[in-house]
Amino acid sequence: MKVMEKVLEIKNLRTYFTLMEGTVKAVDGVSFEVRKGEILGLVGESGCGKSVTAQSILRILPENGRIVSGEILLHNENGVIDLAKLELDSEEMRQIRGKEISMIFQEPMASFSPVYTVGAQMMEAILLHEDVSKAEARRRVIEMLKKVKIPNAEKVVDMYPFELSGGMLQRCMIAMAMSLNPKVLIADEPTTALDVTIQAQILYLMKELQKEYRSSIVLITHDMGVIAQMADRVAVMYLGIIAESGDVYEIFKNPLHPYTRALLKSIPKLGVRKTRLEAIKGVVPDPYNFPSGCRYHPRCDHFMKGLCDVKEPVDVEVAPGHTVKCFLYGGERS
Amino acid sequence: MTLLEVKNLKKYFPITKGFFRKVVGLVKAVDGVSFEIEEGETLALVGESGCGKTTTAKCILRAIDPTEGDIILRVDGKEVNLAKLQGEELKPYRRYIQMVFQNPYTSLNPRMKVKDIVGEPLLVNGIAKGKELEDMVAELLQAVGLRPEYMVRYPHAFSGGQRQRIVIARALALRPKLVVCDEPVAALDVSIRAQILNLLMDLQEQFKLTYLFISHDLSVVEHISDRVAVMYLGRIVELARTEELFENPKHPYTETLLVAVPKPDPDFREELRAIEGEVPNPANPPSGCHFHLRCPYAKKICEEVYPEYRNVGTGEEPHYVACHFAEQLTLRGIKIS
Ligand SMILES: Nc1ncnc2c1ncn2[C@@H]1O[C@H](COP(=O)(O)OP(=O)(O)OP(=O)(O)O)[C@@H](O)[C@H]1O
Ligand SMILES: Nc1ncnc2c1ncn2[C@@H]1O[C@H](COP(=O)(O)OP(=O)(O)OP(=O)(O)O)[C@@H](O)[C@H]1O
Ligand code: SF4
Ligand SMILES: [Mg+2]
Ligand SMILES: [Mg+2]
Repeated sequence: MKVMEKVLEIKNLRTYFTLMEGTVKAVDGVSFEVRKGEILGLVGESGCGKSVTAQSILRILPENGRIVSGEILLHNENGVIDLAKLELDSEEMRQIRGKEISMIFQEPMASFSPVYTVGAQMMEAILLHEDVSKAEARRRVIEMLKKVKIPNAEKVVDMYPFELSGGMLQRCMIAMAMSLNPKVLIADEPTTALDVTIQAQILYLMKELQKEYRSSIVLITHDMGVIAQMADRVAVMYLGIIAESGDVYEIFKNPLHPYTRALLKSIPKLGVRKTRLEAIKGVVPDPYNFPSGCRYHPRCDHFMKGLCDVKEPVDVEVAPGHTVKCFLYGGERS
Repeated sequence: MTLLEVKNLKKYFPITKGFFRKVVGLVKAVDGVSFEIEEGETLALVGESGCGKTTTAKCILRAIDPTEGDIILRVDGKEVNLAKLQGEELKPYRRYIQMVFQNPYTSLNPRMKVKDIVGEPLLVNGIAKGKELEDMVAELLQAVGLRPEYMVRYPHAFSGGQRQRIVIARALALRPKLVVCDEPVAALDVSIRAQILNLLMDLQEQFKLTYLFISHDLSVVEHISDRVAVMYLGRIVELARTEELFENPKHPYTETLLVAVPKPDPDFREELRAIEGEVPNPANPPSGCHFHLRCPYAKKICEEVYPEYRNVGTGEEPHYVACHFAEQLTLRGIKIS
């Protein structure tokens, strides 16, 4: 196996929210790395901490959220920078946002300001980071719009967001995010709000661009289908931790964590008609009160009393690059 | 036996402009839809956003007035055309058709206890009160897998999946014949969806329910339905038995949808390919076959003539489709095991 160059490394990240009702440990000890030119899929159910992980990396957390501990290491020409240690609105962080790491969001409509044209907003991003003339920025914007296959790019550049469909706006969002050729693109549910045919177009486009630019993508989604189609490696999140991670084929063909297994079994698959689905039992726990020990234990079919509800399992590397947090595979060393 | 027959259903919404709300156009949200639902079966309505699924459902529930067409309900040996009834005349039939909405967070009144939410239809219709009402609510809660003790709680104390169970219990209170489920699992956590789908299937058996199941998720539809109708811009473009439709699609739009579904299996990665165009504006649909601008098989006639919706199957295995080339094309389906 060839060792690939790391571009981003998250180490033991913890991000908490303080609320009247208590503390939400939205991200509670997450570690992963993003390698050059790969798509890392971050998958998990609503509320497991995917978006908060992304917001932590870009340091765009809401006011009541803070990084409690951990490192966010960006590897670039100048060495390694720990983003977790930078001031939120420092010049350095501003330069990194957009230029080194950029992000696209689920709701394209909410990501653009309604009062400026799409082109003006895209130009602003370029002018902020690069010393080019307005005419040059505009030329680059049109070129990027063509790259993302927007018909009539010369016209669309002067249109307002409300004049475009959700799919077209998401293309503009991608064009904007890619216009500075970032090392890492974080895409948070980029297709969840779109229809399935438009989703397929956008996913295809992202893959093409990623190959062309050799950029790395962190693709966040709750859709196992999207992950299987897009990701090179996968990290499965459950309640603020990464339960299992590994190569996409390993995760889908040889899932080990009881949660990953149950999740894959519970989703209806095209072409397989069964009378009953194998449902995961129980409910998603309340975020103020995670279960003790292994946080999946109340829903787990392999629950071992006195162990799973008492101790927290640690990461076990069961095969090169395939890591699981579960006592069934060891996980007791601490 | 046919429970519901929808014939040439149309619902047009006016597009108005300016202070005096002058009508400048029409959105043909539903434009000549026909289908039948047999007692005890599940018919799925699939299609992308804005194709008219919810509007079709609202007409059937008579939450809105259809512009044209018939909605014939057969209950207790009688036959009524709901499309032709108004206001009070509809009242005796409303109990037969109930709805389960997509969003369990907004469809429950936060100020009412579960007991009152589920019991309300029984109370309003004078079916039960007092202790008897409580017993019936307890029974309904049990049927949907909730503890009867929960009836004194308010909705906020429940998770999304539990709330959807409450919504279902309420829908079942009047022992309806037909339950319209509009994207019933779309807003739920992935790990909870299977529980609710299983529950819907169990209840169908237990209460002899008939479902009109609306979804844009083809894998869910394949799982739960007996027959599937595919809608595009207000019209049904294909309708067949589930296996038949998935294995042997006859409409290019159905093929496109099947290709577009991201399969949860990395072995199918090459399938992800470019799909043409976007869904056109329903206020201004394309000429001829509405799909022709995006269709890889379109020919001259497709730009000019709307294809006839016809049975290209047999009497035993009817397969309705509106494509000029349905008989000639061999489209790619998905083998069902
Ligand atoms: N601003 C905030 N204040 C308080 N809690 C928050 C805030 N933002 C997120 N959380 C909580 O943090 C946890 C993780 O949220 P996050 O948005 O990261 O989930 P997610 O995995 O992105 O889910 P989804 O799939 O729904 O987008 C949740 O319990 C959420 O309620
Ligand atoms: N009250 C209304 N007034 C005007 N237009 C309407 C109204 N309700 C629906 N429409 C339009 O009718 C068309 C069909 O809408 P409908 O809600 O039935 O679609 P749908 O298939 O349920 O879509 P989705 O999957 O997004 O729920 C859309 O173009 C919609 O904008
Ligand atoms: S550690 Fe125990 S409870 Fe957690 S997933 Fe493994 S077997 Fe289940
Ligand atoms: Mg999120
Ligand atoms: Mg709808």
